[in-house]
Amino acid sequence: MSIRMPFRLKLFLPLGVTLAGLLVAALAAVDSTSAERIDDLIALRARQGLRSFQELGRRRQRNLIEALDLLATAPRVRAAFLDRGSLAEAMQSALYEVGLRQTAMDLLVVADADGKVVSRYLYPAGAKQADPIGARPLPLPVPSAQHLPEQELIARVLAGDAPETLDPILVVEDRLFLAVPTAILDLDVAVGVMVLGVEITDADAAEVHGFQSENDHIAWLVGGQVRATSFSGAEERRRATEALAVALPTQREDTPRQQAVSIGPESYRALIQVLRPAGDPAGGPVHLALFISMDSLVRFRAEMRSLTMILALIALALAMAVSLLVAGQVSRPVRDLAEGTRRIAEGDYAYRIQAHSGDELGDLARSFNRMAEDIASKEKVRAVLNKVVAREVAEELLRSDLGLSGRLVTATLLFADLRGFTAFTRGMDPERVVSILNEHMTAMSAEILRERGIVDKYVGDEIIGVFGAPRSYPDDALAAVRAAVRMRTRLEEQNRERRLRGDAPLAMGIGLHTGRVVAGCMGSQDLLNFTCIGEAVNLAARLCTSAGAGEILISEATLVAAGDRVQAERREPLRLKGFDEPVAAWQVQIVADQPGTECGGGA
Amino acid sequence: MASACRAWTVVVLCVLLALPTATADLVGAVELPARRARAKMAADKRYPGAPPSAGETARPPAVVFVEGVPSEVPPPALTAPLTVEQVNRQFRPMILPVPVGATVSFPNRDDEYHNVFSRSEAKELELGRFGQGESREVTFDRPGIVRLRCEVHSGMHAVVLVLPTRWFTVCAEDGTFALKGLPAGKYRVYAFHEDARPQEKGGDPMRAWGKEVEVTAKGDTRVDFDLSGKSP
Repeated sequence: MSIRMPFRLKLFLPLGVTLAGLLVAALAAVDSTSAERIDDLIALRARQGLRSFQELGRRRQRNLIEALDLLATAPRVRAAFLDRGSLAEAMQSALYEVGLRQTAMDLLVVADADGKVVSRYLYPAGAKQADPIGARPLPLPVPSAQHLPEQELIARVLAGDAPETLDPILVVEDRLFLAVPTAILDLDVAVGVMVLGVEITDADAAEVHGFQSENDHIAWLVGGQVRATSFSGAEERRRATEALAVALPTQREDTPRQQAVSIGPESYRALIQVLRPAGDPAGGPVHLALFISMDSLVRFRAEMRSLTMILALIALALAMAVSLLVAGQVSRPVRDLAEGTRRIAEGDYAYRIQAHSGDELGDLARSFNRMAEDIASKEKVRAVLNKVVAREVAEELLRSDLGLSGRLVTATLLFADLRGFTAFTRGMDPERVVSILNEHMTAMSAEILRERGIVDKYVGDEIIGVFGAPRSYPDDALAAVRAAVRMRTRLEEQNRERRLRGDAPLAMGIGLHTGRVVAGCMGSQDLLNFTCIGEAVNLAARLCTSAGAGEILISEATLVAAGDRVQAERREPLRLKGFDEPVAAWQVQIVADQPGTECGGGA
Repeated sequence: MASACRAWTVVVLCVLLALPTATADLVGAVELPARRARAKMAADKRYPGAPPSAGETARPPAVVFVEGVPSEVPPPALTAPLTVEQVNRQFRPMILPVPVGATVSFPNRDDEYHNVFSRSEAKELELGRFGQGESREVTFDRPGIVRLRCEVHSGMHAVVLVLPTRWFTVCAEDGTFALKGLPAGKYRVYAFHEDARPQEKGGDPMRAWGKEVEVTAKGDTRVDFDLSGKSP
């Protein structure tokens, strides 16, 4: 089973498929690149968030250290530490100074020269927010045996570490603080330690948040509970806590990892960093969670995708159109050629192809046109030939390659001419003469041709027909006689019409003889005439001259050759010019349909 | 007869008085200890707009005092009125030895307020805020080291050394001192400077550096102190 695929489709398909494939590949590449970009963007924003957090943390720490230094060098505080040697008084003086200087403070601790905590003051949770003016820090109990969270900072600063190098995260009473220590020195001997802490609140979260993109958020957690966050609404905070409760347990301590988290309708990538592991003496676990908003990114990606899709579809349509165009352009000359050959095959030799291009296809078209012209002119020649020469002769000529050679054949010659034609046409218009003659010749020729004879030539008003050359049939003589009878009948019909028209009738006499003749194309190379030569020809001609109007004279040979269907009356042997002996002649009356059967018909 | 006895008593007394008394000078030099770094003084942010303290640039001299001198011998008179000025955001002098019971005045020579106080055990002071031209007076009734501070200026610091003896002197800039009119005898001489590290911990900070000295009747007795701790 073979499907006929138009040439244009054959061209279009590979082109179109390739282009479509390339476009799909490009689309996929763009899509995957944009996915990568989004991941990069998320990582970048997470890094930025962390950096802002770290930077602000360091800045807060520096501020705290500065504030603590101011406290520690306040004359009252120093006097209490150095001159009085009273740590309790030092704490009270420090609290006094805090109030005086409006120092930011949530936690204040005083320890002795050995690092043992002596006094701790802490603002109750939410006290400052509730009553900014009246809120007071309250003393915390100092358990003797327990290890306090601020102990680590105190020990390190007594060991000589610079405060800015210490980790400021501190968890006291389950609350998150940023704290720094300082050693009180009497010249170069430590006489005590002070620790100043500020609570990490939503305001801090808001400050970090201010350096991130608007929809990103941050949260600090202590023991899995959110202590400070940039999420503003109560509902959002609750949802954030819930989401983190799920995400935290899966968090590994070593490297922060991105997790997809949903808070209400918004989706985030959460980056959770462990600031302090659980069980740390300074308090823990403390986590920092950065929320990178996915919404804008997801939206961005969707937009990118749809934009790419649209562009790809447009490009695809264009590609298809271009492919179609190109396929059409390339296939058109081919189709034109196919059409041309079809038309030529059908016989429309006048069809020409338009040759546009200067390439091989254009050459092909031009060759085709030349070929068509050749064919057309050959056909013209053939048509002319057929008009001028009997078709069978023409075919024979063409077939035998226009051989000059003649053949000796037995043929029946038929001569028919008009009686008194010259007189008949005297004084007539030349056009009218030609017209009458043509009418007559057409009718007579038709009868000859019908009986498979050929018209040798027309000589004035005389027709010469040949039966038996170039092709011969068994009943050539009979056919010839029949043709003659038909010619006579036809003439009578035409004469009736003429009379009705008011024209004069024509009179014709016919002579036939069967004999051996030489038949072939006679003449020069350039001008040939198919004809017959021989005594038989002369005899037929003479018989015709002897025939009267409406008479068909046949020779004995013809009579014999024609057989007993011919009914003819015997005539006196004729003395004919060129023949020594008188020639027997018969006048044909009718040709029976069946041998020996009478048939109707006039004489 | 009684008038003659009286007359002879007067003559003997005059002769006795006319005889030169057996006193000596105690001289020496005190090598100051290395200046110890003080805790950095941050700019005063307490009073907004207040320019930062000048900070301590000068060093206080050492003080030398003698204990054990019999009280009949008249001590040297107090040379100048006892004042501790506040000038150029510093106390002047930076160390003032006074005998127990002395009254010291504290005039403010600066064109800004000072608030002088002390938390020392020997004397708790709260002079309050007073301005230029004003002064306060304080009587120091117990011996000890009284560290003076100004609440406003964290760099202001001075010591009033309240001594149970009147035999004391302030060393000169080069560390030399001379204490005149001491009777001969064995005494304990102390040198005091804030920066001096005590040789042993937990002792009396005022008497951290002391030496037994025999003052001879004739000429100068020399005693030197090396508070730097380099030599034993």
